[in-house]
Amino acid sequence: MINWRIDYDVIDMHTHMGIQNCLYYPNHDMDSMVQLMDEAGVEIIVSSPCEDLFNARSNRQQITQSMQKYPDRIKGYYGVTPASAQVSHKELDYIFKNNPGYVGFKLLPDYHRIEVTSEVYQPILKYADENGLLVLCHTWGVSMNGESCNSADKIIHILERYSNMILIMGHSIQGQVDLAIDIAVRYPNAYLDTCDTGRLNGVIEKMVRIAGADKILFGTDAPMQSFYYPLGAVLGARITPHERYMILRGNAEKLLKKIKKI
Amino acid sequence: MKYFDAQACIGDEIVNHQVKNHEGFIVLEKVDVAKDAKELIMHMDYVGIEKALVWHVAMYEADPTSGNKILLDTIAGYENRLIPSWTILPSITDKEYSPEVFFEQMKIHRIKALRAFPEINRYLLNRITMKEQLDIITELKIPLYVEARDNYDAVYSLLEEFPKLTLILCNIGCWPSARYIYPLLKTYPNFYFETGDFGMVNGFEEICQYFGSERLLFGTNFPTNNPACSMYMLMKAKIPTRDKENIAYYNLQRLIEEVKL
Repeated sequence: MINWRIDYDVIDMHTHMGIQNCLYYPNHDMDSMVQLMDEAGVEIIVSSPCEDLFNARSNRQQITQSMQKYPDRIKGYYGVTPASAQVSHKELDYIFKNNPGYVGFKLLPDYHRIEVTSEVYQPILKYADENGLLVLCHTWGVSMNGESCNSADKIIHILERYSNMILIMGHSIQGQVDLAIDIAVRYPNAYLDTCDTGRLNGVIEKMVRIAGADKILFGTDAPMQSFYYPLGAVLGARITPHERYMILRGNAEKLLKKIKKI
Repeated sequence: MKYFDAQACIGDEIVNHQVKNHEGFIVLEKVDVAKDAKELIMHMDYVGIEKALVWHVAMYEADPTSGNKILLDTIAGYENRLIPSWTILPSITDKEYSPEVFFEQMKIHRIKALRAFPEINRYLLNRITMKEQLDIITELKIPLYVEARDNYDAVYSLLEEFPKLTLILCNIGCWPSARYIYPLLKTYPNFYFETGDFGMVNGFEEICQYFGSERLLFGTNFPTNNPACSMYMLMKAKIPTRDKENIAYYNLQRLIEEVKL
């Protein structure tokens, strides 16, 4: 039988904020999200608002205000678009110094139709690597629009080049999950993400069995999805309480503590 | 609380399992399936599901006629917990689905729901193709499961033609489909959806408030999903216990009891 109790606060490493225009969902502003976190027992989210990922004119107000208002609850990924990727080292220093809640970058290669290996992303990846930052990169083995820009081969390519950044394979290369697991085994700085993929029956157990629970991070895509549904996937997985703890909190806590202030 | 799963599938697949991902397109992945009824029951017992309305993957991957038979063979001896559903085809081509034959077979085998896979079986689920069959399905109040994939036009058209049809939308995808689904809930009193993929923030709360708890059927969409996902989602919904019980068990039980076969 399942133990539905969670005796510790959860850390969610894959969230958004605000509205994505193709969807209707309520409770997507920072205050509502914190309320939802309180209800679900989520202490910290690392977030990349939709406006930073889909609006070329975003002024990043949602994330900067959220990190200021809730510094212990909301951390941020600097959302990268092909346009915003063209930013200098000096500018990034300024951004990260002035917004200490930022812990890394969020990339959406497939949505932006730019291969993750493209030169476009290299300034960002280089900066993340030099500073040991997190890079949450959307990964799919197949694409909704032509060839995947973030399939396993391309993820390996950037991991061969950058060994100091922490690469979170968003959605664990859904469609190539076995390869994502192999990558997590081979590369110490590569992590699996439960977002969407964790619900697939037996997948969390396989990740734990092959890559180990210490290479899996809990992610939800909230507020596009409730915290509860993906939490159910971890609670329902046939893994030990310690493995469950590492996925829901332990690994994320370690990574966030390691992030150096710039 | 008792759970009656409205959407569970048995059987080994010939290739990797088709998953409707969060953007609504199909991805192939390996999932842990239940090869037979005994394995499915083990999964149900692990999470605490009492009954399931089931189908067999062969009804989709192989062909409906042999798949329907395989399902019956597979669940033999477990009928107290596994309720069979069958796939239907247009009788204009496939004579064994003509009303005078097919509905009698359904009655003999106590089939309480039907499934249509028009895309995979290459037909249009509409009045032109299946008027007589759909009229009878509507009249007998047989729930018809339909997947939307990302084509809600077909669901909207079908319900425009058969507004009293008992239609259960399944495999809705994990990101919110409210803009598609709410108009159907508002317009068609016999429209339902199963919650196997339903992870919308405050989704149960909103739907119960707008349309009532009677329109939702607890489902797992097993083996795509770990059954605990939709179960935990429902457990944590901020709705009255009576509404949870309706969704978890009684709505589907009522639909099955209303079938006039």
